[in-house]
Formats: sequence, structure tokens, C-alpha cells
Amino acid sequence: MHHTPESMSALRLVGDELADTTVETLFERGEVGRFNTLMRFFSTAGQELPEGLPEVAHEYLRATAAPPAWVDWDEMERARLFFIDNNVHISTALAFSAMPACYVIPHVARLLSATHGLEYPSRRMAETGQFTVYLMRPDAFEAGSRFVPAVQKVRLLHASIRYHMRREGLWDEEALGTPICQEDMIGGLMIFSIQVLDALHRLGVHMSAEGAAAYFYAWRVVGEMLGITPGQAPATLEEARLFSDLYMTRYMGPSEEGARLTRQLIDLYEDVVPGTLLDPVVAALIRYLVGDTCADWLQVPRSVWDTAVRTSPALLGVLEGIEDRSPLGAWALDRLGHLTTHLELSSLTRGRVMHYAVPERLREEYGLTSTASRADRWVPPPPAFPC
Amino acid sequence: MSDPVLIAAGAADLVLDGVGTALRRAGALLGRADLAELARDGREELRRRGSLALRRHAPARESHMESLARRAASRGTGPDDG
Repeated sequence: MHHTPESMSALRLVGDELADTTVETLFERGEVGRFNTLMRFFSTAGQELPEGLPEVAHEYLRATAAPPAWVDWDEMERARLFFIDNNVHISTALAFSAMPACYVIPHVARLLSATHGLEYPSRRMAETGQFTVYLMRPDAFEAGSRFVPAVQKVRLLHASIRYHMRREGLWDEEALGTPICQEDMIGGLMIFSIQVLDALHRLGVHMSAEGAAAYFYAWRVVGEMLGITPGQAPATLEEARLFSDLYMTRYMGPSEEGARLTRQLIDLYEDVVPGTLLDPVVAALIRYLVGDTCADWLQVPRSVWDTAVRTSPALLGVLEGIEDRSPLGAWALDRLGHLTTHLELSSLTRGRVMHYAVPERLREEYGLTSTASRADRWVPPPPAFPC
Repeated sequence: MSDPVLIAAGAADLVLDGVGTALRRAGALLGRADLAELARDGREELRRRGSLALRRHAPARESHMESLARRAASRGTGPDDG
């Protein structure tokens, strides 16, 4: 879908009717408490729904149980392989680029600040990480999967935020339209898809065009399951570039909430980095990925590490050069990547959420390896606005 | 950039370029009297190779987000400015 500023403005007025109606009905009938309690026991697809679940919740869970009919399962396999090949880089891009990118949109930062449960970046980061890991499991869309119920719950969570923001007058609906509107949902999708690919590119990661397209595709499937109106989200990376660039330039700017959330995020990551010597690297990496203007808006501290971090993508580029040409080098770097991811995520989630063992299952037990040519390097589509 | 980084990158680049050439050079070295000078030249060559290799692999200087932010800043922000 080719978007213009006008078509995007129209999307600000639209929420997610199915989920909104479900949540409103639950609140009207005073069934929210019972629903929440029972849903703690519903975590895998195909599982029998708990007894006593309100009828409206039954209907919602039935209507949203299946992925879109248009899903190309071969493409989803390619997305999983891309994720396995790049797991450490994707985690880094999500943590140091995608999270700050959300905070640089002032109304999104305000919404995240206002919703109590999302105040702590560690929780949101863990949830996002968990969500991605569920998505990339071999059985993500089959009976027994934890991914589909997670999507169904997140979609209702968004609807309940809309409900509360409106009722409690926390949202300027006249100026900003609907809370978590279609434009913001697609904007969020862009932050986790094409902008993560942009960050990987900036980190010097070599990606195949096929892998990058598949990663984007998987997020497009997820977007529709999360309530984006079918046909509204960009269908290709080129369309995504246009939407992403338009969306960011329409809204990005400084805000108190954005700076506060960023401070919390940096504190969290500094806790994860052992010792204190390397603490400034966290801020330097964020600054490197989002650029100086955004980093200043978010009040990311400057340090001497800012210059040093700029070298890392070039070094990574040299290392990946070795990986591209030597099977032994590829194996060694793969193991290193696995170890780093394991350390990074298990520290971040403090063991509460998950282990990163699942993608290994795909590779080792299913005997799958990436067949994409490494020579076919992906580079981001050109900017929508030529400089 | 510091010398060790450049030399390491240069060495990596040299390895990629083909170990065979380096071995042939090493063989020829044994019969030479100006070894110290050659070592200095070798070090310099590695440093230059490193510099070139890092430049070759370095991504664009400015992040894409930076160009968008500058554009947003110069035009003001808000839905009506898009």
C-alpha cells in the first residue's frame, strides 16, 4: 500500500475494532478480573479454553486463532533462518536502536510513560524479546505454540490501553486521534522491521536481500495478527522505507518522557554490562545507531567512547569478510554470536523469561542451514527524501 | 585510529588476500641482509592495508535516523508538517 501524509492522517482515527469491542464488553459486564485470572492458564495454541471464560472472550479468541490466509510458509522459514544467522545482531539492534526509536516519537513516549506496566524498559524489552523468540520457534503457528496466544493477549493489552487512556482523559484525542491508532501500529511495525534492518546495516552486518525481505515479511504477518487492518501495512521494503521515513519525520522530536525512558533504558543496560569501565559504551552505541540529533533529544550522555564505537562496525565488517570466505571462520563467529546472545539476553531478563535455546533446535534437530548466497548483500532502500 | 587496530585489520586483510603470496615472500626473505628495514616496511604495509580495509567495510558516515531527524528538526514536527 502506497501511503501519503493524507492517507496516514486518516489512519490516526482508526483503532482495532474487534479487540476494542471485546475489551469494552468485558469492562461493561465487570468480567475483566475473571478474564485475567483465567487467561493466566491459557498460554498455548490449540489448548482448550478455560472453563468459565466470558463468551465475548471466547469469540475473540476463536476469531484471532489463525494467522492470515495469505501467509507464505516458505518465506516464514527463510525468516527463521535469517533470525538464527543474525540473532546476536538483531538483539543488539532491538535493544540499542528500536527501543530509543520508540522514545523519539513524543506521543509514543508519553503513552509508554502513562501506562504503568510499560514504565520499566526491562519489562518491555523482555516482553519484546520473548515475543520474538516465540515467533521464531519452528512450531510458532501450530498447536502447542506460545506465540499465537501471546499475540492475542498483546492485542487485547493494546485495546485496554486505548480504553483507559480515553476514559481517564490521558490522551489528547483531538490533536492525536485514537491512542495506539493504525498509523502508530504500522509505525511501530516499521521500527521493529525495516529500522532494525537499517541498524544491522549500520552495524556492518552482511545480510542477503532474500533474508532481509523474509525478516520484514515475518513482521508484516505479525502486524496483521496484532490488529493492523489488512492491506494497510507496507507490503515491500521499498514501501516500508517510504512509510517509515514519512512517519518518523512527521513526529520525531524531543520530549521529557522520551529522555526519562532513555535514561532508564541506559541504566538497565549498564547494569547488564559487567563492571563500570564499559558502561559508557552503552550510551555510545545508542548514539552511534540513532545519530546525534536523536541522541541529543533523548539526552544520551556523550563520552570518549563515541569515537571508539564508530570503529566497531568496520571491525565487524572485516570479521564478516572472514565469515563470508571461510567456513571455519564462519563456524567460530557463529559460536561467538551464540555465546554473546545467550549472555546478553539471559542477563537482561535475569533468567525470568526464556533461554535462547530454541533457534538451535531448528538448526540441529531439523537439519536446516541457510542456503542464501552471501554474495547477494542487502542494502537499505534509498531514503524517501533525498538529502 | 590506533596502530594495533590497523595492523590487525591489515593482517586479516592479508590473510584474505591469499596466504600463498605471503609464504612465497617469506621464503625469499631468508636470503636477505636488510631484514630490519623489510620488517619496518612490512609493518607500514600492514598499517596501510588495515586503514584501507576498515574504510572499505565502514558503513555510511551518517545514520539514516540522523538525516530524518535533521529533516524533522528543520521543518518542525507534527502531523501538519508532513
